[in-house]
Amino acid sequence: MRKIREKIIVDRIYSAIEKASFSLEPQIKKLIYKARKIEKNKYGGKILDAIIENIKIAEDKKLPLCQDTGMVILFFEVGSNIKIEFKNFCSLQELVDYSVRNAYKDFYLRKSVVNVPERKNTMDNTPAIVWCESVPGDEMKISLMIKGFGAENTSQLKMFLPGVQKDEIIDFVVECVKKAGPNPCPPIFVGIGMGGTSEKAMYLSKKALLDCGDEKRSEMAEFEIELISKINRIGIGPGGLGGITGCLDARVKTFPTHIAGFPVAVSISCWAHRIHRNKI
Amino acid sequence: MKKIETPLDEKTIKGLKAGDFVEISGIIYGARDAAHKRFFEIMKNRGKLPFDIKGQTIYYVGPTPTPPGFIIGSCGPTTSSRMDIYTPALIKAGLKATIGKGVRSEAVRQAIVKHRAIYFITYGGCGAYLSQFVRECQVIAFFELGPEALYKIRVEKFPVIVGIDSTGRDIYSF
Repeated sequence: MRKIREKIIVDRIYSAIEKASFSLEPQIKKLIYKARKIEKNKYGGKILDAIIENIKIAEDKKLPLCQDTGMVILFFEVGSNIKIEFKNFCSLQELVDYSVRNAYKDFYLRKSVVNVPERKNTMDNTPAIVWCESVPGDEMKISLMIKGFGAENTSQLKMFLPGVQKDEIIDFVVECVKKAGPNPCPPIFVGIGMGGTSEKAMYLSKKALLDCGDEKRSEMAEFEIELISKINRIGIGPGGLGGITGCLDARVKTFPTHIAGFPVAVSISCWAHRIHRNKI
Repeated sequence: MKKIETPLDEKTIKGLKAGDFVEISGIIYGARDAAHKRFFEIMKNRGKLPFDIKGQTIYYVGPTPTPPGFIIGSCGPTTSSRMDIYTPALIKAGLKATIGKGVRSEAVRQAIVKHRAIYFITYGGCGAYLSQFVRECQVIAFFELGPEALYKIRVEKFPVIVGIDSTGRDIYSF
């Protein structure tokens, strides 16, 4: 049994929030710079210039990339041989919220979380969304996503029939992006969850977003590449103002489903795709 | 690039066409969802808004907290369509311009045409970049709403694009 002290996890999450709030991962930045090189649209090009300038200023001055510093989502994959030594906290949720609370205060991030249905601000951006999967092995993976709601409000789920064709699924996703228009701050990243149950598909669509920009693609590579090109063909462009670089990447995650159905979920992230992946 | 100053008069608004790149200087008011809900309640009860809305500009923004030594935190636009239900009444009351991102409802477009107002869009997600054009910023009402309070912001050459001009032409339907 490998023991991990809670303090290590607390610190990793705290610094992951700091990193993700002020700078983008290299694989994400690379896609934005590449888009600038090929975008010819007058408005689309100008939007990308502002985005690139924004990335520089955020890094230099340590200002948040976007004023919507989002809700914090944590994906844990905990190896079966791992024992987390809890001392001050009773749960992962409690531990994560402690890190979120401190990071959002210390780094002057906006507190955007309200309780429901009163909509009273919790004033410390907690609670975070915490997912925890048990996996084989003795490693612990911690993936963080800071999710703004301009993009989150454009999420969609469709329960297709088992006989659905690939083209219908592609049309559904393209339609989602079209409907979202300028709201999720294109150029966007698209995560797709296929299979499982409704909530599993949504969960997978978020996890798929974590893979955006990675060199290695899944066995769904062909579908992903076709989808990116079809989305970009609708000409949504940066800022939704036109161009060929409205979608920077799309990733799919799958899971077996029931003989009677085929859930497909779509999660969209803005160009300020703030993720951080960590391993302990 | 066209340069304009707030508060806006009809002549200035008439000279701007959908798709124009514009730089705004002067006072603008920062307000988003919760502040709009308050405006709506105040107007319903025939009360007085915390600022004189005639000729003014509202920017849909909820900035990040101001770090020490800064004028404002990150302050990019939020999605305008969430404010659509409140906007026609505010335009009728004298509001001349709104700044945000994304498509507006048909009711907002019609109110813009009827009252010769204007809708600007600015760079979505570029809160750090846009903060560089802010010269002064203070909360003037609804302090308890935190990031959703009402802000009075003085900007200099704040970059926007005309989204819907006073004739109703919409950049998103080009």
